[in-house]
Amino acid sequence: MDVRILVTWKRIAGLVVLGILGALLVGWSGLVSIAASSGHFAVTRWFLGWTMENAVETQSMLVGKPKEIDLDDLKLVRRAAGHFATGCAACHGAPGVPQSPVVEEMVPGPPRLEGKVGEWSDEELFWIVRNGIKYSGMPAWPAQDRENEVWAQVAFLRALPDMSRAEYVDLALGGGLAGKDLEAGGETTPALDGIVENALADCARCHGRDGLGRGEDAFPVIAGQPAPYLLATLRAFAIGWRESGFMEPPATRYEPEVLEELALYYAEQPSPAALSNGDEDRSPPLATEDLPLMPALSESWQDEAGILEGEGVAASAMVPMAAAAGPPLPREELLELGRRIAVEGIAARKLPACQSCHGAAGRARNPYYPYLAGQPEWYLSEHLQLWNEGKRGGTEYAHIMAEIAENMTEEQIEAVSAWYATAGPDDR
Amino acid sequence: MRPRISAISALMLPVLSGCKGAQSAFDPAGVESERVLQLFWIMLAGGTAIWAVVIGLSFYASRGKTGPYSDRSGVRLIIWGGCVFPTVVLAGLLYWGLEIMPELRRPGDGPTIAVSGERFWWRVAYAVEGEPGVVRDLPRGGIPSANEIWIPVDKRTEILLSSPDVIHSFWVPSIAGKMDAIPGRVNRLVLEPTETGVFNGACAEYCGTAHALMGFRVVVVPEDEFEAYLEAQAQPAAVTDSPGLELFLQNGCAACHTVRGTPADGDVGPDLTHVASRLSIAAGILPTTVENLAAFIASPDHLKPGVEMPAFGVLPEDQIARIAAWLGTLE
Repeated sequence: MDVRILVTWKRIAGLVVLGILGALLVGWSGLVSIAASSGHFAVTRWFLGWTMENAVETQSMLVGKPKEIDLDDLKLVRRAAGHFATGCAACHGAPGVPQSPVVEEMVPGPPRLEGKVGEWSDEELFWIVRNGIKYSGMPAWPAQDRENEVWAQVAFLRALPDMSRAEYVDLALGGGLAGKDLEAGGETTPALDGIVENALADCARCHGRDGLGRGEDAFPVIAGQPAPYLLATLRAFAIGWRESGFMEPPATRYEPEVLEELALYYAEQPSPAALSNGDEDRSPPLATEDLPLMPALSESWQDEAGILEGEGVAASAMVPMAAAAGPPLPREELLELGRRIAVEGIAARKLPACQSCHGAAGRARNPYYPYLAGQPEWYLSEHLQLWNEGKRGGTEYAHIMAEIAENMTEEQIEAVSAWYATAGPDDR
Repeated sequence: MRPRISAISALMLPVLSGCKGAQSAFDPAGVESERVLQLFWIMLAGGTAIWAVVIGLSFYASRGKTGPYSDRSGVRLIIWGGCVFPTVVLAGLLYWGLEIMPELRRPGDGPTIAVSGERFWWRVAYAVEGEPGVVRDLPRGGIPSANEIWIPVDKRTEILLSSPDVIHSFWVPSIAGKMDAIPGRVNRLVLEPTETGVFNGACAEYCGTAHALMGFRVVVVPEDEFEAYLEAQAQPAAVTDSPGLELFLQNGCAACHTVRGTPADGDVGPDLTHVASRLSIAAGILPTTVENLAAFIASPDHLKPGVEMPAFGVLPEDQIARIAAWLGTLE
């Protein structure tokens, strides 16, 4: 039989319309299988997986690992471990932590990562962790501008296959639970019942009970920072003024009253300076007396996130007034430059002395200004860089720092970070 | 005819009165600005005369004598009218203009004041030792002030100009012409005021968002008053024990501002030791009152968009009020 069909534009358009109507009809019928219980056909499963792998491979081509990132750095592994326990282990399991049967019923099921991470390159892992995967339940990184956090998470994933249960417990759960049997699903988020002890244990997994940070300068020092500053910072994390994939989740996990208790607790811990000074130089109890701890926390403060700006403040394209030039300074000169910036400032570059706000032992200081001496070098330089790029929010005082940091060159940032990391107690 | 002229004059009057005042090159109060104005009037008169002649000739050529010219008279017209006449007139004006210059460039016989144009204010230092020749940086030291320059009348005050950031231009229209403040170079400008009074200055080279609000005041006084002013400015701050000062230090204001006689020794922004003695704050944009000081501390960016000082409106209102009240006592 010989059927002749004349192809016309009208007929093609008709076919397209028919196709759309057909698809709508199928959707409208209510007969499409969306049940996780039935799973995918093998061919669908293959197609979806193949598409995903291709997408990750192609789209991660633009990812470049910064040269200062070393994925073997234990500090990076440490930084991301605590977050893995609360953010990832619930679905993917962890060393010594089985996956819950609840999770195993997901379609597609989240894989255990020990055996999987080897299949991806560093850049691909970065892409997946940062962007997440649609329709799979894999979320994106909560703070898109904090790429170094994502790299830390990648470093953790790289270390995961060889990680023993004991190592994992020490890194991610604060070591305090080593003897306990771990519940399926990992260390799940403590109930939001406002029990401060729970919350404190949660903080201590990374920051330690002493607030000095657990191990190898992996975490910023929070011990002895003024309580108003700590609370305002937690609040900034909670409402998104300050971005961090690591800190936003815990800051939103607890009630404002709990955050206040936490801030007071860590404010009372002796700072490194106080410790090396035999405790004489403890910061005065700035917290509660004259200055209101916080502008009254209203019931709805978390809801204001959408109204209060702060997220994605457009970074004004400011040209630094002095471009870095010449070969990099030797360490000694770098420290000297750092000292000069911290103590004297460079007036001609509109850089005031950092110490005017962040230092001055024994002098009253606005309780929203943190001290910097003894902070890890990586932390200071990473955050000054973020300030410099207009990506670092914080308390209501953050704009003051932004105004200053935008004038800093990379060398100045390195120098002042190095100096503060090594600064003695007198420099506080 | 008569009523019409007086009507036009009446209409022009308010326009012309705009040429008077503290910031007008048409109302000179200095030797250089007088010469500049004279130059302007003579150039204007000359230009007007030449314009009238040219227009007259073209009328004559198109309406009066429409017939063809002989070769001879055509060539003569081109040589005399097109070559000789403009050469002689322009050369004469040029000679006269150049002749004024040496007189204006004579070195000063008064004080030397270093002025640094900085985004977006003027750093002033009296009693500095100027160096001869071309130098890269302004001399350091001296008695610091900001946004207000006092000079003695009838003296040739030498202003040394430079900048740490971008090119600015220093202009006090009533007293002298403009001079650029260029990073890495020191320029000189002599101010020789002939009248006492307060005059306005401005930045005359676009330097950023707050350029239009980068002004200053020039106060011309008799010489003995100038000496007394210098002596007063050299003193430390009048009030160094005040809750306002405590708050000033606590909140980090001292990172950028110096108040001599207190621990505040920042060098990024204006010296505030005698801020209340100045006529204006924020680089000539607001009269110095406690209210204005408080308003500027709270939201400088609203009063002066693009300003480099961060806003401190986040501080409790009573703290700002106390800081402003203290600054208001620093005469």
